Amino acid sequence: MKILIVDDSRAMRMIVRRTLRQAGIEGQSVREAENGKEALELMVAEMPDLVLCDWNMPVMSGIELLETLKAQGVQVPFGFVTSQNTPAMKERARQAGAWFVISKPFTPDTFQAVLGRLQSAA
Amino acid sequence: MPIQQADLHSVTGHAWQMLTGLESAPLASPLELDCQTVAFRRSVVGVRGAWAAEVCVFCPPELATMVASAMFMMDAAELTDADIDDALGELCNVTAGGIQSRIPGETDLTVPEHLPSVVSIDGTPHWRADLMVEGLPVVVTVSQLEV
Repeated sequence: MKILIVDDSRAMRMIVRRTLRQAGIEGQSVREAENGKEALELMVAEMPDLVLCDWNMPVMSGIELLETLKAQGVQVPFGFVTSQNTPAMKERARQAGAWFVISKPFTPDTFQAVLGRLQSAA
Repeated sequence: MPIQQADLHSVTGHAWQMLTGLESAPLASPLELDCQTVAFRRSVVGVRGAWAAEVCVFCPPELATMVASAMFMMDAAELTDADIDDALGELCNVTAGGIQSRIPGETDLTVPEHLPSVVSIDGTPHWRADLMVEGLPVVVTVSQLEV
């Protein structure tokens, strides 16, 4: 599985990468981008099997990235990993096509529960 | 009052424990800190929308380095200033998210900002939590803004 982690915090990208490993969901390849624009550029070269994306980032936010992908007809499993935690945000994410929202801080069990289902369905 | 003092301690302690593995001990009364001699690092995240505030996390540089070391799983000597700002910013971001989840109404968080070197702790925050982590002081303040 090719996983793309999008977060403006390098520390958080490392924590997500580590948590994936602890949850036993390490991808065959894990790529990183620090905002939505960089993620789009990476996705032109290589389409991931899963995108784990922060909500709030400079340059291009997570929801802008997801809406751009949808407008381009790109279908990729996409979930938010974010500190943002309101019902309206979760509803907007769902309407835009997000598969899930994981709130920070998270545990390997959280990743296992959400992403394990996704792996099983693949 | 949208935030309870116990909630602020709880949110802060949870963020520290989950992101760094460092245990924090809440203090019942505010620390008397000499900001002339202690060079605090500060990270700030804004809450905007139906309710607005600035959430700040202050801690001494050596503790900020410990935070970054724990989050990056790297030796202190390998960390850059940007790494330390990044780690403290994410800690502040998660703290602000915990506060946001307890506030009614629709709000958004801003991207963390980092303020370098010596700063003083803002004079009159509406809420303040004082903690000790690894024997070093941490202060989290929430200053409500006009909407």
